[in-house]
Amino acid sequence: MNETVTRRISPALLLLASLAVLFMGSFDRDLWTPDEPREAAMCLEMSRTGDYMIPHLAGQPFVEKPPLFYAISAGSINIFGKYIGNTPALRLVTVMFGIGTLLMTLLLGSRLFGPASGITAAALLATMAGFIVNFHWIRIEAALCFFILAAIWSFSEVYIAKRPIFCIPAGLFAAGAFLCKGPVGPILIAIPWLAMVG
Amino acid sequence: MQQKTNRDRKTDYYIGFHIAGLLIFLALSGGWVVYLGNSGKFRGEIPGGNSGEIPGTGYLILTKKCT
Repeated sequence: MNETVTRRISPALLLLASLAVLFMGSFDRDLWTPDEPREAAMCLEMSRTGDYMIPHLAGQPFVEKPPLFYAISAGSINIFGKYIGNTPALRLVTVMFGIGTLLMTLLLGSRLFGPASGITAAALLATMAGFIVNFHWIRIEAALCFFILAAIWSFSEVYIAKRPIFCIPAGLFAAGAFLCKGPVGPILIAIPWLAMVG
Repeated sequence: MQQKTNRDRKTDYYIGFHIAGLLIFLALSGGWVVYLGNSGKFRGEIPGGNSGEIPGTGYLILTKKCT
């Protein structure tokens, strides 16, 4: 294999291996306490009642967190639950957010420091213990992480690549972060935004 | 009246997109907050709590319910 082909294939192989880490161990286990049963129960209740605006737990409104993650997960239960089971359908959402987070890391790293740095950053993140743990659990933080990174990447397109139209996805992703976990999302987006504006 | 330069137009363009992004954010996040407020399910204190213990049920029952 000549050097050019190796140079082109290696990043793809590295990214595929990183994705494999996300999928392994996600679909072959039951719910783990303390968080997963509660989150799964809320998603299941949302999928059964069809109320995608206000999360409920054991019939009671549970608005400690906004509904977006639960709504997406409830949608996943409705679509994939009958084929792969409810718990794997829920974990699929987390895995998809993990893939999105890696993609955003790749794009942001590429924009800031070049493609090689982007790929390296994504591969490093994919194999970090904290990342693996968080993206193998049914937890809101997976969605929050994705939306925050996606909004920061959008702002990097606005201010570094000079493409102001990316203000619109930035607004959408910032709203996604808010609708996952409240004000903490926009606050964490505002800090790098201020750094880029300044 | 002074004509707009290309630089002025570019600035307007930037500001326009920033306002559009901000409006999208406010409409979506604020929309949910208003909906929640009008639903009567949020009355100053957060229902549900963070303990993860549900009166009369428990994790085992919930785990069964989900799987």
